[in-house]
Amino acid sequence: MTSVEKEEATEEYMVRAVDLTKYFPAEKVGLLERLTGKKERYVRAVDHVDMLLRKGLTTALVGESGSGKTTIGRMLATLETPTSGTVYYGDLVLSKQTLSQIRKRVQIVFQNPYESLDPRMSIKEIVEEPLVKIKSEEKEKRVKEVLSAVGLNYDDIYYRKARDLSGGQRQRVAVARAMAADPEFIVLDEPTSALDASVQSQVLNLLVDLREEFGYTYLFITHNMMVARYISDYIYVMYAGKIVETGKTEEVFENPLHPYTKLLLKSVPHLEPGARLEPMSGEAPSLLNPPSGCRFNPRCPFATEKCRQQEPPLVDVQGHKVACHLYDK
Amino acid sequence: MNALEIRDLSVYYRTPLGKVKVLDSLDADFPESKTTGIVGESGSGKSTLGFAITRLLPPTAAVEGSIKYYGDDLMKLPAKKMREVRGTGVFMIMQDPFSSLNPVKRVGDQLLEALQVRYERRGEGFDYATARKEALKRLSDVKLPDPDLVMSKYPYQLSGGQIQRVVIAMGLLLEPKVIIADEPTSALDVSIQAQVISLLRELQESYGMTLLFITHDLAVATAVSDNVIILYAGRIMEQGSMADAIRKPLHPYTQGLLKSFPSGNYKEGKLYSLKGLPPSFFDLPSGCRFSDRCPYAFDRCYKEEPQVYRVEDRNVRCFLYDKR
Repeated sequence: MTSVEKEEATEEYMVRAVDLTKYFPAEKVGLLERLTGKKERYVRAVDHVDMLLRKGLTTALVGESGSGKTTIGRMLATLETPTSGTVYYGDLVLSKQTLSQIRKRVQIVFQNPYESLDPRMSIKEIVEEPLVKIKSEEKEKRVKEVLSAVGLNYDDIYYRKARDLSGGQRQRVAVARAMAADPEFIVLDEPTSALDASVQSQVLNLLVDLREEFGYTYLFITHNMMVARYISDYIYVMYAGKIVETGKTEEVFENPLHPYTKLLLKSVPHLEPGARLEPMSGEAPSLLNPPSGCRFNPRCPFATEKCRQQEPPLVDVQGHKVACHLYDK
Repeated sequence: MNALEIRDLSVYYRTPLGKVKVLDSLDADFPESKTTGIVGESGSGKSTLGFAITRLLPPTAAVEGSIKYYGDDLMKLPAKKMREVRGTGVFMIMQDPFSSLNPVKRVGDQLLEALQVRYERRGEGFDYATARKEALKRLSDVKLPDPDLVMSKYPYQLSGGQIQRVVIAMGLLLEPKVIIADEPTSALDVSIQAQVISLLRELQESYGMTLLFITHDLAVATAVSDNVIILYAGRIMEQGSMADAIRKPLHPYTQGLLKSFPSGNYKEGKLYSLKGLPPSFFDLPSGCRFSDRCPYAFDRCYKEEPQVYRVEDRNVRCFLYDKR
């Protein structure tokens, strides 16, 4: 164990993932094909990732589509079983025996509130669904509590169907449902990206308030850099199944080190008239057959021979961590 | 010179719940060789405007007013003439690029088909070899690597960013005077979005096309547009230079949108947020449509709807600028 790992292990964390990996089989390989020597191929969605989610704080996980951020979120929400790696939830290690205990602590809010809520269920039925083995009077009390916490009036809304609500209201209901079972840790998978600009800021403010009031730990998954900067204390930047940079949010934004993070920030349109975007070239690689060495090397303006051959480790540089040979000593 | 001049355009949809007016008496000019951003939230009528110009509205829609395209009123053109305007005159890039290509036809064949249309309309003979060369050139113009390979692929074999570029290449092959791009980047990743935006800007500048860029994202609009139209509940709230609208937004709605854009960190304070939700077309507020969410609303705003006022070279629909 290096000194940094020791320090992290002693820090108060909610969730810690070590060497987390998820491979999805890309095609079926039958017995006959196996006998003829055909190898199974895998999509390496998440490839040996370490993460630390600090208690009571918000950690943002940013990356483009296909980077593996949602797969990490689903694994940490126990909806997907890791191919390998260990996940700690406080004092518990994720395993078949601890699963039901861990699930009581974990909830998830999905990206699209038009799909994550059953359009034919009433709001009351949706929100009380996670509440089991509880008397119905208590259920109603709890539903009232969480709905009012997300800024909805129980009497106005409990009988309505999800299909009658607007996107912002639906996402509030989805947050209320996650809160109902009194979790400690909530995975928020792009919770505002289906919402309109004027509604997005309402929901972001609400999420900050709820965390402060109830002490939740959030994993906030997003592709929007400005939203990540606003909402989080710590940030992980993912590219093609790997963490390329992580650290305190303000440090990563003020002093981005990895070429991918730098280019990503330059690709974000700002409210500045006349500012030109500087897009990076190329597209994200196929995870079926990722580039050897650093996965960003085909798009990286600084790539050298070493980058094509050797995978860079995540090392400490200037107060945060970055996986890039430019910072190798 | 204006490529498009829209006067008093209203669009109604018949719905099971009654008739709704989703665009209300729009007046707008789209100057030639400029990019106009059309910004609005979902349900503001921004896509309806695009479909009204191309006359691709569903049969349940009714339209009033005029849309002049280089002097011709598109609303009055016979269907056959209108078909000739589509594609080579006004080309529309749809939000979901996959839906604008035929899924069972190779990309190359679809591009050649577009070229054939252009040749026919111009009365030129179609020559396969020249056409293929031109298609390859446009594919490399939109920075698709390996144009030869792309030509031989089916749409499902390409990524969203690649498909969007194929559609843009198709637009270029048709050499339209006007391109309407309806949220062309919202299905794309940030890094691909930046590529497509820069590409559209470059192409617009080098070919002098008129571009209408429909988006819900004010920052994306800022990156591409010269002028802007801010739509809210079917009404134009603010209209004028994009840079001016960002530097000094006049309408309270524009101000609210700008202020609610996430910036900084939560520790520095709350995000500004407009109260409430955009109104439903079935239940529009009386008076100004923004009145129930407006921080500056006063008595008059709830009673009558403001007209358009001319302020600092911009049009703004707000009583705050009534000088009486």
